[in-house]
Amino acid sequence: MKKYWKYELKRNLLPLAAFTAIACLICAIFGATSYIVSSWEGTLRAVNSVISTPTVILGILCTLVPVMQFSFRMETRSADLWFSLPVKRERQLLVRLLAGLLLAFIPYTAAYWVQFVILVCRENAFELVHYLTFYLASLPLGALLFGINSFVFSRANTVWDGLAFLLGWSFLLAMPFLYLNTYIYSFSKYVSADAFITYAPLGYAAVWFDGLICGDAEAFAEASYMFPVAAATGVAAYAGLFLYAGRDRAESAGQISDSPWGYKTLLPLYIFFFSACNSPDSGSMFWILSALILVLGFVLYVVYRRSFRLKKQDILLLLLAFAAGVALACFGAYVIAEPIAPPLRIPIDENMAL
Amino acid sequence: MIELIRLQKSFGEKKVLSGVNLTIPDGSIFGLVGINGAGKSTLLRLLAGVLRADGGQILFDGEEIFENEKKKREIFFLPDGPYYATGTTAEKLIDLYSAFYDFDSAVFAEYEQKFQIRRRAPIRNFSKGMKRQLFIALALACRPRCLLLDEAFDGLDPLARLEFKRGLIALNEDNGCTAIISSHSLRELEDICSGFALLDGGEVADAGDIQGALEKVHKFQVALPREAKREDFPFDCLSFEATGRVAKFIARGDREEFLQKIAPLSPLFVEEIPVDFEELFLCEVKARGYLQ
Repeated sequence: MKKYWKYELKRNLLPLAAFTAIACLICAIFGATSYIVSSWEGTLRAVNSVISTPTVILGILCTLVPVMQFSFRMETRSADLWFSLPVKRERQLLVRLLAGLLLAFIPYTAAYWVQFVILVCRENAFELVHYLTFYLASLPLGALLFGINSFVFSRANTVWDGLAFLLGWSFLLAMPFLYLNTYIYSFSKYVSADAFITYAPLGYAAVWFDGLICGDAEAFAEASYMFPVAAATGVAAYAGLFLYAGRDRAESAGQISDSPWGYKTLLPLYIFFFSACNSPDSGSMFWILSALILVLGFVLYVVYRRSFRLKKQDILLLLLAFAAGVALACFGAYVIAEPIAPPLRIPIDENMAL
Repeated sequence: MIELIRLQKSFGEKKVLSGVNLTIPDGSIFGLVGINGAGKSTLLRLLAGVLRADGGQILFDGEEIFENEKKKREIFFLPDGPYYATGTTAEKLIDLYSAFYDFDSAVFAEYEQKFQIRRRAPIRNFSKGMKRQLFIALALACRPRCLLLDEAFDGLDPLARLEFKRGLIALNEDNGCTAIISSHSLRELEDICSGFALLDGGEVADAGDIQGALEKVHKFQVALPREAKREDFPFDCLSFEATGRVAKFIARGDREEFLQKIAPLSPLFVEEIPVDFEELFLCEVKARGYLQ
């Protein structure tokens, strides 16, 4: 195990150096060139902490690194090599996961603090302590995102399917809230759909800490439900990774990705929610969008099956999901929809008008 | 000892192995033969712990192999097309295998010289034979107790084949290594293997000791005073061909008994020709209806 860990670290040394150099360079450029303070009316005020740059880098690394670390099981020859080695699959997963976390967090950490030094050298108008608190907060948030992406990606049997799963799961949890926001306009005041995108916790935290660092932050309401959901999905993803590690089938490498965590679930759910969000109130647009959703569904099933000959169950599921979505859209539009408020009548004060 | 007990494996609807029973003694060099798609590679992948069996058992010294780190440390699997990442060099592969096996650098250095392997050159630039030589050198340097080789001789030139066979025999003698080799080069297998198993229809159709199997069959060339016909020979033949008055056949059974049955035909001459493993294999697959 120790030897394997050392080997894994050595194997990742070159990408680690490359990622660190690129991340540091990007953050240094942004740190040195961004508009960070305003001196309006002679008062120096911080306007941009630039923490969004390392945050975007962390988001990218938490997507790219799981792809690098877990694509070995998606090619027969590579699966043959790694699964024939004398190491249990759970241990292999653990080593790859830890090495992956290092591969994501070391470049991020280096870039973050390089940028911090550059910013501090430029101006000192920030609440500096919050650079540290954001950094500390971003680590668990990044780790949760890393876990979710690792789990989702490793359910696929090819790299392209894995990327499609990543994209699909990024937005899936937001879809029910998108439906509610479509028909109940006031609902978005309480629950925002985009808070359920897998990358949202990092993004929201960056925006909030940007405010704290610049000294004008307000607590954001989404935190109360967004972070518990992100934590729960992240922990479940890590548990799922280990749960499935022993069950991974080497013979699935390169085959059709028919995991229940993949197309099988994603496609009907997306067709259902897209149809449900397509309001029947929108006149001819409803019919055009309905046709597009059906065509999109068919295309996605062709991508899933890698053949134009779809199975009967696929076509049935596609139509069922579409029909259920339309039914829910009708329910949304005619039963639960909030009436659109009449235009405001502003009493005209004659004196003012004059 | 390696024991396969009612081993089963399917890929989706397709049943590849349907109850393989086989015992491979310790220290033997064992040939795995069969037509394409017979399940040789699947069997080796199961033995290597790459695939999980759907049913049955694979026991190595009485222990299950799948997910058994301790036992797998004694097994080295060299597949038909071994994997290497883009830009990988022999040196990087040495690092990889050293992390998992007791890698013997001296043995590798010996084969490095024999095969003229370039350590720091990217493997992607190697020819097919050079890649095979490199992986053979790595396999031998890992000093496994069980070596699983899929299409072992594929791409090797005659000299490299010879070196490989020598290395395998040396490993077998020094370490008591059991080697299980799947190959279509049956003449090579005949040279080094003590035992064999013929896979057919997902089962072991025939198995045992190669020399023993060859001794059980006899090939005769007979010249008759008239045109030779199949009906003239009153026994079952594994293969039969006749050209004019000369007939050639391979039959399984007692040599003296065949000679006695041929004698009434008043042959002008009877000659026994040695049968090689490839001929025996062809007869076996012909008898199973694969060749017309």
